[in-house]
Amino acid sequence: MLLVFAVALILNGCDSGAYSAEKRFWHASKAYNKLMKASEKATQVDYQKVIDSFREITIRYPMWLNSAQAQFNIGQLYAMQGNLSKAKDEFGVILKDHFGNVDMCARGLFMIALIHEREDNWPKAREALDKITDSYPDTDTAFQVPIHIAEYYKIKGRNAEAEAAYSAALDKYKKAIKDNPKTYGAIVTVDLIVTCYVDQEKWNEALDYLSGLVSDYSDTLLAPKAMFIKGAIYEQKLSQPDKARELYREIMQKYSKTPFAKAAQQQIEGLNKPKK
Amino acid sequence: MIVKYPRVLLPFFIKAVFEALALTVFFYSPRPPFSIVFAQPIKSFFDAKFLHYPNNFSLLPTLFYYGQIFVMVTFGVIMYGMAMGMVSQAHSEDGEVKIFGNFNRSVRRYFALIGIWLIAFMVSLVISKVPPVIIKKLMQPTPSAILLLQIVSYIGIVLVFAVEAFFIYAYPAIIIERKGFFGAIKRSFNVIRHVFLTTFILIFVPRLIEFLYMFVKQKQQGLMNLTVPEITLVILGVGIFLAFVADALVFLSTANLFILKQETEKGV
Repeated sequence: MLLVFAVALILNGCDSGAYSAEKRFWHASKAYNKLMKASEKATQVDYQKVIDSFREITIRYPMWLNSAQAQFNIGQLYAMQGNLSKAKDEFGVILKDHFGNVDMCARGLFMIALIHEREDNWPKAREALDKITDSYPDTDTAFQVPIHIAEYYKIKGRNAEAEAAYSAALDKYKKAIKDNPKTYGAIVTVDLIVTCYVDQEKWNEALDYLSGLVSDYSDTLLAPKAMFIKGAIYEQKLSQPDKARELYREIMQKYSKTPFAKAAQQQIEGLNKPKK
Repeated sequence: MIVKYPRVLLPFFIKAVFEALALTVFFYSPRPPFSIVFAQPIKSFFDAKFLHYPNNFSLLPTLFYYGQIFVMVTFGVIMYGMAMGMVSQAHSEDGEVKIFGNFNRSVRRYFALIGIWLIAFMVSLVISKVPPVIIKKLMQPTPSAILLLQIVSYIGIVLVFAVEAFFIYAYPAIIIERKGFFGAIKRSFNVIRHVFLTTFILIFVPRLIEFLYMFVKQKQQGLMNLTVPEITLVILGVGIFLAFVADALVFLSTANLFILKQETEKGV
């Protein structure tokens, strides 16, 4: 039996294939998460150890699917240490070596844009963000770009540019919902639209748009989702709990088989609790 | 006896080696060349995620359980029979314990041996699995239902030991007395009537080690998260060793008791 285990351990040492890559990636990710949890206590040596683990994956298994993710994590680790130029280079490697992995390329480019922002170099950041929407238009990251640009202008107090950017973002997101109302992506996009309105504190516009969604797409999950957000706006932003309660009840009655029914019930329970 | 004739442990050792081989094969099942055979069944019956690290370790105990049944059906019962023959020879006047002779003798009685094992296995399976399923179906998962489930599980384990006691003497009856399938069961029931408590203790004490091991095995997922996924391999490896010890103690002690009973009967 010991002999069998010895043979098993020896064979395990033969490192090749996706399984070994997965194993190395899992262990490296575990060390990465541990580092993230206590990043303030981590030393340069701790960072370097994790970087080396991910680096080994990118060297040994360059063609493996998650090799790009390993490269991305290396970039993040350098960024966390404050070594921004090195981080930028590492994210750049994704675009060069993993150009077929569009999702990771878009994420890498987004990180490069964030670094440029941190360096107060908006033109370069904008260039990277525009490249995401041009080169990788179908990725999730590309979808985040319009709202990110608008939020940047808002933070910097460039109000006219912010308003234009929010308007452009809203147009893009509304079109996306119109084109594919029955997809999971549409449900997520509702959140982006609401964020655009919330950022500008345009509560009534948000309510109007959500009401439109309820009437236009009553047979999809968009309707209960829109009703739920409407309820939350009435409850939290407009201080009209009765209207909120009414909407939550409607969700429970009309869309009882959707996940929003349970969430609505919980909201009603929260509303009914006596305030301390 | 073990000190005088250590080779009586050989059948149990061989069974353990086969189990270790099965464990090794299942451990390597996500990787080539084993994946050629195992990838598709794992995808079809479980999920493709179990072909990837570390999820493969979550499925390993289940696969190993089926592997143990396969080992038992193919080699295990032959090894039990072989051990019975060896114990019988150890009690004979010349005391010569043969390996290949007993192996051949056991192979010739394979169908009777497998019949006994299968019937004991099926009865044990029904006793241990059916009542918890009924409770889960009929009761809501309240604290009292969970407590009842635990109590029923423990009673089930004790009953499984009792089932093993009822059939344990069928193995020596097949090999030593050359009884057929039904004759062996009848003989086993006849013996157990007189030595039930002794037999139950002989089975219960070694199997208690395995029973305690089951608690550790249940915590496998938690241990995996706490340490490394490879801990599963160590846990299952320890299980093979414990099964080797428990099997050897149970079968050798009850075979000895059977022979003593036989001698007493002849004396009468």
